[in-house]
Amino acid sequence: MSCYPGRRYLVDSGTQTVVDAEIFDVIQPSDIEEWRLMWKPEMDRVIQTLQANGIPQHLWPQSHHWDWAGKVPATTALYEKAYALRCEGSLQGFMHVSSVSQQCRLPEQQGKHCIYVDFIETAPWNQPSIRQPPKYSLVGSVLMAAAIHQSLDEGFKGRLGLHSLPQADTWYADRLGFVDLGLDPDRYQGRLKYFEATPEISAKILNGVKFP
Amino acid sequence: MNESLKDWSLRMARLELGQEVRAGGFGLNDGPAPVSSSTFSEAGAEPSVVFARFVSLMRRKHGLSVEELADACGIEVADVINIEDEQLIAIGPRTVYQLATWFEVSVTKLMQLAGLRQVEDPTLAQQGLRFAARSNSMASLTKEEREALDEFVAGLGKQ
Repeated sequence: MSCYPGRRYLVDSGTQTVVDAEIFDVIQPSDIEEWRLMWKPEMDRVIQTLQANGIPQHLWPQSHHWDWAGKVPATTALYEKAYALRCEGSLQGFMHVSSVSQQCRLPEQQGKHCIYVDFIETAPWNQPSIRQPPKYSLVGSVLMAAAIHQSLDEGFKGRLGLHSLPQADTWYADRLGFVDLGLDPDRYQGRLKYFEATPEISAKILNGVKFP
Repeated sequence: MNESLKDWSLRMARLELGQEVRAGGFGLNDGPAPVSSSTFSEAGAEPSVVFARFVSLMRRKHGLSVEELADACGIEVADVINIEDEQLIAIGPRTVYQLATWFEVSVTKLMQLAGLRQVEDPTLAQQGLRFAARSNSMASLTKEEREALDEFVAGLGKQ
């Protein structure tokens, strides 16, 4: 059973050294406030710059309009969970998952329960399209590992599902090895691809590591 | 021997390098913009106009009402209305796929026309411009419109 808050590492991209981080299985009102004060203004600045430079909208960070304040309720339902990742005193990433909103689609696990990643996003300064190099690397991996652990804890054996924003498709398909089930005509106006992880894929990602 | 958390972290950080990790679709209506339609714009034709005109003329060619076309294709009446009003923002790939299948034209090209795929065929924009210029949205299909439509359908190709 996973324990939270949990000790994790992130990698400082500038120095290529590991730094201590902490993951929480709840997003506190103070996290949302920090999002509002630090994260959102930074994203707004990025968009203003892109706009001023005439960069077409389809090249902007595709989550630039996301409003975590409106999407994370003060109390989450039993079947939902939200995660916050912090490092050196600052918020670095959010994830919101559900254990009921999606059933598996891959033939070998069709109809079985999985953890569905509703939303996952890293802070603007950790997004490579915004800052090179990003402040910290590994935020996405740590959050995905938490989703896998939840799947294991709930008896779903590591099965995961998610709809990726197009700019992140290669991360899920090529780097994590999720199975790409193509554009999903039934959700999100058919504009997002649906990806799924089997227990074997998730086990390969965790690679037997003990997470404190 | 199992990998240590520190080794896992360093390895996964290298794997994550340069990658975006966003997933989820909240606020999608304000989200990912449709694929760029610059090829059409350069040719002087908006793809929404060409697509709208095409759907409208194909419907009329078959003598169908908006409801009948929606029913025949298995799509929402509102989708047909929106397409013919050149409002493509909420039109998804499934709708375009159903239309292409029913009209018996190339799904890929119709997706390009609907702005859901990058325009791969450079002649499509020119064909679309010519087609849009030779047709209008009047109720009856004139001989010229029929010829323009037939020529454009031939250009779109079969599935």
